[in-house]
Amino acid sequence: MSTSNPSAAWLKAESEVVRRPVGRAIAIESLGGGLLIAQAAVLAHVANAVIFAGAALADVTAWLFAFLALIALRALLAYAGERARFEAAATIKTAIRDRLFRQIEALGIVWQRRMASGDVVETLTDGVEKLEAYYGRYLSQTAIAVLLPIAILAVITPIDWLSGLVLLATAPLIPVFMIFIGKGAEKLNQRQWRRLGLLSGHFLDALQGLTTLRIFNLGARESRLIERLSDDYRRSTMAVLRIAFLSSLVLEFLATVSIALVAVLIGFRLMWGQLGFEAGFLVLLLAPEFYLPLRNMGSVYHARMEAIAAAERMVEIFDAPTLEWQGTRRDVFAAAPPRLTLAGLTYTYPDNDAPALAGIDLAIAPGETIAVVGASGAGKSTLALALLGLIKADHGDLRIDEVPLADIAIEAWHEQLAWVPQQPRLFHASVRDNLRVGGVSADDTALWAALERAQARDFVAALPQGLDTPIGERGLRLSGGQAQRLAIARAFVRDARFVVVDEISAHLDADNERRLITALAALARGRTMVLIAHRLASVIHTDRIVVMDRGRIVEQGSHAQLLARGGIYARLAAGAAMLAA
Amino acid sequence: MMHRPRSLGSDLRWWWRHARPYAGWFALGIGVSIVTVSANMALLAVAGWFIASMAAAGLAGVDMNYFTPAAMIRGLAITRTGGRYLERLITHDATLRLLTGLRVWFYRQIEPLSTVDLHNGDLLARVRSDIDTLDHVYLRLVAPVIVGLVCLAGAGAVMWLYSPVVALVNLILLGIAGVALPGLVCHLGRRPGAAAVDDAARLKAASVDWVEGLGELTVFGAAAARRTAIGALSRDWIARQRTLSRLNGLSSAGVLLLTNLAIAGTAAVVVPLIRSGALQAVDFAPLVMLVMGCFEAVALMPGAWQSLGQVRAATARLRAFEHREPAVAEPADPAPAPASDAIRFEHVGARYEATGAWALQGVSLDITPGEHIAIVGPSGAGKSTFVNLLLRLADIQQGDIVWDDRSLSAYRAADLRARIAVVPQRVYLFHTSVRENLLVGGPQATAQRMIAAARIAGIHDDIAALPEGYDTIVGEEGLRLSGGQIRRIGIARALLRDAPMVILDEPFEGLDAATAARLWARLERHLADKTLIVISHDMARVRAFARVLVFENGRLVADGDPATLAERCDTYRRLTRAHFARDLPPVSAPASAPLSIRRLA
Repeated sequence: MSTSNPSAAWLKAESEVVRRPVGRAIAIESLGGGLLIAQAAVLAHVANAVIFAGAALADVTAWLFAFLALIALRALLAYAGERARFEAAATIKTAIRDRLFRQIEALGIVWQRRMASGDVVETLTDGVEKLEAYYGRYLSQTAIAVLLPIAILAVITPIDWLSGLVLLATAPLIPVFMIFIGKGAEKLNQRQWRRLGLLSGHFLDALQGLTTLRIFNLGARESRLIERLSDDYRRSTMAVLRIAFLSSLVLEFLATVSIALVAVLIGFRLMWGQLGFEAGFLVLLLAPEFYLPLRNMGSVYHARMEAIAAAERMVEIFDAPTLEWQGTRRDVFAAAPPRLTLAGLTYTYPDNDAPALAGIDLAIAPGETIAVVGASGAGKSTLALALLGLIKADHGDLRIDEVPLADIAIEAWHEQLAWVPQQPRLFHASVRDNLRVGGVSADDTALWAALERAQARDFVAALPQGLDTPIGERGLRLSGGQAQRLAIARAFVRDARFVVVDEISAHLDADNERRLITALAALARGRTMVLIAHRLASVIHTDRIVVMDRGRIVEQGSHAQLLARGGIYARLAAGAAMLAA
Repeated sequence: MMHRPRSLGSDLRWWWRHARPYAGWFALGIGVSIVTVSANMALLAVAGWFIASMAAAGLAGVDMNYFTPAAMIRGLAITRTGGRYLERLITHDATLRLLTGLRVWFYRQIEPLSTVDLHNGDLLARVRSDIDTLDHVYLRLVAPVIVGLVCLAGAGAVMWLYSPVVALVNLILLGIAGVALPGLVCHLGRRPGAAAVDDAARLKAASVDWVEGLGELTVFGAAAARRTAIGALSRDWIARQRTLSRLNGLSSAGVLLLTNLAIAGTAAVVVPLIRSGALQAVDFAPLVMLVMGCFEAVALMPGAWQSLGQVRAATARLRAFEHREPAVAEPADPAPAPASDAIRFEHVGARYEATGAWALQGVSLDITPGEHIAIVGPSGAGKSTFVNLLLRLADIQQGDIVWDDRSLSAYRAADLRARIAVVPQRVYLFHTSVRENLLVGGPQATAQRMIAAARIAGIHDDIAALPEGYDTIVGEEGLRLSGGQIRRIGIARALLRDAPMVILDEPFEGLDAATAARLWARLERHLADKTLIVISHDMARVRAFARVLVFENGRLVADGDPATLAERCDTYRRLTRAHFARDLPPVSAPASAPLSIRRLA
C-alpha cells in the first residue's frame, strides 16, 4: 500500500486532525479484541469442565456469568467503537468541506468558471462523504488487522507452538496477498471500472441523444446495440472477475484450510496426550478470529481506493492559485457616483495567448452611462469583470475616484457595486430572498418599490405566492427577460453607486423588450453605469458608446457620430443601417 | 414526475418478470451459496466434535477412526473455498445478464415518449444508476435472505436431532439477531434516513447555487454568509448521519449480544442434558461450534433490509416510465408513406401540457414542395414547436396538418421522418467517432458520400485536422469541439440523409460571418430543389429568402417576402432593428465559390 500517489499522501497528512478520535477507535477495538480472547478462554474452560471434569450447571454458573459480562462489555465497546469512528469521520468531513468552500471562494471567478460546476458540487458533497470510509474505517481497521492477529498469536503460541507456527506461516502470505490485491486487483478493477463507465456512458448517451436517434429513425437499431454492448460488457467483466476473484479465493483458501489444518493437528496432539483439551479448544476457537480482520481488509481497501479517487479533485482545488487582493483602504468613497479611470489595462486569461484586454484607456465620469458594444470575443465581458473587481488586471491602472483599485479593500469596492449579468443566477429560494441578495435588511415595501422601478412588479404580483414564490433551479422557471428584470430589481435594492449591466442578447417579445429598456433607463439615473449592450434601442440614449474589438477600444462617441464614421460600429449596427438604406 | 409507491408484492412480481429468463442462473447461484455457507457450519461443528472425541480417546487410551472426520474437515474446507469462488462467478454473471435485459427494456419503454419528458439530464443520469442499483435485488436482497434462512433452518434441524430445546433457543435468538433486530433498526432509521436524503439534496442544491452564483455573490458581498449557511446544512446532514450511526452501533452491539447469548444459552441447556445422560459429553463442543457457525448466516441478512429501501426507490422511479403515453400515437392502420411533400397547416394549435399555455395556436399556411422558407421570431414564439409537429415529436391539439392530402396522424411517424433531414437547435453528438456521428444521418452511406457531405457543411478540413481525423472520438467526454464545429457536423449529418425536406434550426449560430456566408452559399446551391425551412435570428441572412414566416407568442403574425414584411410587420421590423450583429460582417462579401465545392464538382 504505497503512498506515492499524491492524493493518498494528502489523505494521510490530513489524518493528523483526527489522530485522537481514530486513536480512541483503535484503543476501543483493541480492548474489544482482548475481551474476545478472554471470552474464548472462558468458553474453553467451561467446555473442558463439562466434557472432561463432569461439571454440573451449578459448577459452571459463575463462568457463564463471566461469559455474559464479557459479551455485555464487548457489545458496549462495539457501540463505543462505532461512535468513535463516526466522530473521526464527522470531524474531518466538516473541516475539509469548510476548507474546500473557502478555497473555491478564494480562487476567483476565472477558476470558478473553468471548473465544471457539477463536478465541483459532486466533490463538495458526495466526494467529501467518501472520505468517511478512509478516516472512519480504513485507518482503524488497518491497525486492528495488525494488532489483533499479533495478540491472538501471542496467546496461542505458548499454548500450542505447532498451531502458532501454522498461523505464523500463513500470516505473512496474507500481507503478500494484500499487496497482490492492492496492485493487481487495483489495475483489474480500474480497467473494469473504465469499461463499466464506457457502457454506462453509452447507455446514457443513447438516452440523451434519443431525439436525434428518433428523428433519424434509428431507435430500433440502437436498442439492439445496447443489448450487444451490454452483453459484451458482461463477457469481458466476467473474464476480469474470474481473475479478480482468484485473489479472494486464495485468501479464503489460506484462512479456511489453515483452520482445518489446525483442527486436525490439535486433534492428533490431543489423542497423543501432548495437549490439554482446554488449550486445544481455545486454539480452535481463536483460529478463525486470527484471519477475520485480515479478510475484512479487502472491502476496506476498496473504500480506500474510492477515497483516494475523491481526494484527487480536492488536492487539485487546494493546489490551485487563489486570487489575492492586498488593498486595505476603505475611506475613498463619497456618497456620490464614482469616477473611474482606466489606463493601459491589460488582461490575459490563463492558458490563453491572446490578451482579452489589450490596453484599455477609458475615463468614466461620475454619473455617466457608457454602452460597450462589440462582436463576441471583443473583450466586453472581461472589461466588466475587471471593473467589478472579479479579475485582477495584469498591467495598467484602474482608479476609483483617483485611488488605485489595488489600494482599496476589495469588499469595500464591492459594497459600492451592483451587477446585472446576462443570465443572472436565480437562487433556489423565494423571490424575496433572491432580491435580498442585494440588501439583507430590505423590507417588503422596499422590495416592491424596487420591482416597480425594474418593471417587474406586474409579473411578480401575478406569481402564485407573490414574493414568497420559490424560483431558481427547482422552483418556478422565469423567462430570460423576466430573470434579467429581477436582477435589475436586485440592483435597485442594492442602491449602488456604480452598476455594471450585461444586457440579455436573446430576441425578446415586444412587451419584454420595452420593459427591459425602461428599467435600464431608470437604473442609470443617479449612478455611474457601464452597459454591455446588444440592442440599438438601449444604446441610443446612453451618454457615450464605446466600441471594442479584440481587446481594445476602437471607437467611441454618440450613436450618430459613430454611424457617420462608417467604422466598426456602423457595421455592427448593419441591420439598422440596411433597413434605413 | 410521479412515483406512485406500489406494494412490495407488486414490486416482487415486477422483479420476477425481468429475472425469469435467467431464473436458472439465479437458482444455481443460491444453491451454491447455500452449500458454501453450510460447509463452513459443518466444518466448525465437525472440527469441534473431532477434537473433543480425539481428546476423549486419548484420555481413555483407546483408538478411534480419525480418517473419516479428518478427511471430512479437509473436504469441507475445500468445498467452502471453491464454492465461494463459483458462487461469486455465477451470481455476478446472472446479475449482469439481468442488467442487460433491464437496459434494453428501459430503452424500449422511453423510446416513444415525448421529448419534453426526456429533457431532464439529471433524470436520465439517475435512471442509469437506478438500473445499476437493481443488481442489489439479487446480490443483496433475495440471495442473502434465502441463503441465510435456509442455512439457519438447516442448522436448527441438526440441533433438533440433539435437543429440540437447543434448536428453539438458537432459532429464537439468532432469528431476532438476523431478522427482527435489523428490521426494527431499519424501521427506526427510516425517518432519519429519509431526512438525511433530504439534507443531502438541500446541501447539493445550495452548493450548486453557490458555485454557479459565486461571481454575483462575491460582488454583492454575500458569498461568505451563504457559505456559512451551507456549512450549517452540512452540519445538519452530519447530525442526521450521527443518529443513523448510533442506530447502526446499537444494531451491531445487539447482534453481537444476541449471537453470543445463543452460545451461553446453548451451554446452559446442554450441560444438564449431558449430566442427565440424554447427550454425550463430547456433544458440547460440536453444538457450541455449530452455533458459532450460524453467525455467518445471521450476518448475511441485516444488509437486506437496507437494500430493500434503496432498491424499491429505484424500482419506483423506473416503473414510473411504464405505461406512459407516447407523445404521438401511431395509427392502427397506417397510410402508405406520402408521395409528395405538399403540406398544409389548418388552424393548428399545440401545447405540451393539457392546461398549459399554447405553444402554437391558430396557425394556417401552405408549404409547396421545393419552397425555401425562413422562420423568425423572439424566443418562446413557437418556432421549435412548429418543427416538432412536422417531426411527430409533439402532437397537434387543434386543427390539423395535411401532408400529401392526408392528415399527419394517418402516417407512421417513421415514414414522415424519413422525408425530413433536420439540424436541431442543439445538435447532439454521441460519444463516439466523428464518422459514427455523421453516419447517424445515413448508416449505409459510403465514405465518399460522407466526405462530400462534410465538405458541403464546411467541416471536412476541420475533421481532417483532428488528431485521428474521422475516427476521433467526440462528445461529452471526448474531444471538445467548438459550437460552430458541432453545428456543421450536424449539418453534414442531415445532408447525408438526402431527404426531400430539410429543416435547419439556427444553422449559423457560433459561426463567424465569413464562414456562415460561405456555408450558406454551398447549402443554397446543394439544396436548391428541396423544400428548405431555416429558423434563424440572423436577419441579414433571412432577408435573402423569398418567404419569411414571423411568429410571436405562438401565433403566425406575418407570412410574406422580406420587403413587404419590413413595411408592414412591426415584429419583423423590431427583430431586424433590435440587435447588433454578434459577429462583424466581412467588409466585402465573399464572391468566389470556396475551393471545396469545385473539388466536389
